[in-house]
Amino acid sequence: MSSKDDEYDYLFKVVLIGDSGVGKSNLLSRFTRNEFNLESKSTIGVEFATRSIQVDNKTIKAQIWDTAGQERYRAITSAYYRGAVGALLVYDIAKHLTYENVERWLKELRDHADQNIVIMLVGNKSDLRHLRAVPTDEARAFAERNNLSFIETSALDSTNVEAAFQQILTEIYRIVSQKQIRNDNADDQSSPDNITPVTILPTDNAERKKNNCCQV
Amino acid sequence: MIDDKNDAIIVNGQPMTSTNTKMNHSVNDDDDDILFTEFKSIQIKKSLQQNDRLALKTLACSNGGFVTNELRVKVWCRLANVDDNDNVFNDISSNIQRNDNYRQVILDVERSLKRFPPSVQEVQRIAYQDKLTEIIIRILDHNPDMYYYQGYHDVCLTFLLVMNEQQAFHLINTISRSHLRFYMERTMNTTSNLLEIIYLIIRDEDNELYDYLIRSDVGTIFSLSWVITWFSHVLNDLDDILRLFDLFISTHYLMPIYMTVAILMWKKSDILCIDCDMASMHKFLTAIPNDQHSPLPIDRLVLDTLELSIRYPPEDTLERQKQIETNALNNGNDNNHNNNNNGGGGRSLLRISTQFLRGNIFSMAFIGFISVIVYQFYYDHLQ
Repeated sequence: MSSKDDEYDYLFKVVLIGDSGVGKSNLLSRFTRNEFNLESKSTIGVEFATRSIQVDNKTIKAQIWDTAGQERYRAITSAYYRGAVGALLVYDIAKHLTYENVERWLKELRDHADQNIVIMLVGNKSDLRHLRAVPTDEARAFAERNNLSFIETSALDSTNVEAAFQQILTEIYRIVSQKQIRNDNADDQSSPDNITPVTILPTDNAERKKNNCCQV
Repeated sequence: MIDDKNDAIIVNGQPMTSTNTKMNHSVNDDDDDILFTEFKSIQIKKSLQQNDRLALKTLACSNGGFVTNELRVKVWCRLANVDDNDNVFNDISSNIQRNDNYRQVILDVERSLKRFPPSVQEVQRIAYQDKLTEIIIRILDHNPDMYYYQGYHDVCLTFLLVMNEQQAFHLINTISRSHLRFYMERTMNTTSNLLEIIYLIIRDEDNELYDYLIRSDVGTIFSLSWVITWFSHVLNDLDDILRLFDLFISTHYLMPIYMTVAILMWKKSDILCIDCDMASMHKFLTAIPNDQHSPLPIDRLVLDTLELSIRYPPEDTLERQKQIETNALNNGNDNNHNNNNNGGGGRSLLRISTQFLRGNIFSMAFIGFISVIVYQFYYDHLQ
């Protein structure tokens, strides 16, 4: 019954957050199944999907958790930020209010997620050019001020979806592998002066563990 | 009062034909299905005529529920004491866009396309969606103490798909107050606590399953969309959803939670084969209701749910859950007290001294009072 796509070197948990209706579920389905569903339902609670990608000949399995956008669900969904090493904070480029609320989502992450979580600001629905309400430069400047990476995507026409996930997963991978080098160096008693100190950890390391508790 | 004229569902002047509920009973022969439907319809009509509410509730629990949409609309309205003559729906002021929830409701209603049967044309569907938004906002306007949640739109749409908007408004309004009110509080705290009842029952019912689920750390959020939408968000077949609504309208508001337990028990052998970690378990459990290869046997699960509700009466279960919450709260407070005592030694010393002094002032006053009486007694009788 269990999924067996489990040959990976790293497992990274990433959360998709942002206001209701910005396209989080379709970003997830576009990345994991290359599907866009015009009839997609509201997400109630949390859902997740996985996909593996290659970085530096390493297999990285991304476990991406999609969360409900309505404010009243935050108390429940924020429990799922635990253990996440990355967050895609999504807004709708055609709805300014969803961009204004980015600050509140950042606070949610500060309050409930690991302080070293890698955050990417994602302006989705870039295909709606004629309806654009959030200028790209403004969002990019905001991202720079807050040390976030930034990208604009369209789950509908696929623009930059692959790039967004590749970019954040690669960034997490770099940090984790630096951390491992640093640890190895520390074990060798050598000084890791040229290495950026980070404390971020992979959600799960490459042990390909299977807690197969099947009892029947 | 049931108005026979309201049986046909008319959207933009076109009636939507109501289908017979699919039977899940053991005999699959079509003729038997028709016979069974006819037989049950006669019983339902008879109970309606006699206004025998107990008989109607019993019929909700047996195979097929209220069997046809025409009948279930009548019975639902009867059981909920919905009065069609009430004009509240028309009386409420109509600027629905002013409601704080308007934006969220629109977003959810727009994403309800999958809920419509293929027979509903696009024009009809849009008309339904407009009516749905209006009904939801009017109910919220009518009940300022109740808050909209994503998924409420799925419940409301289910009603609207089988009855006219006037009936739907009154019925949803009543059901919201009787069955959904805890999910419509300002926060989701009560909802989260109610979902814990799943584990309360499973622990007594099946220790092995309980241990495995607890060990996987899957929690209760997998069942959130099942319970708060009465499974209308997660089941694919409208007939299955309506059949469950027959049960839920006729019984205690905890029944969707009992149904969740029944489903977990039904799937026990599969669950025990899933990797014992949160992600794998969450993924497996959330996929159960729309698993095309292994559809849920709804009528059988309704019976299991009823059995559970007999073994663990809802009111007793609520009392037990409340006790657990109170204990947890007290433990939490005790811990807080301990933390406060540890953390703020100076303040707690002051508090203890104050308590000691306050207690002793009363003690000394009492001793003084007794001394005066004894002295007076001695003085009066022995002098």
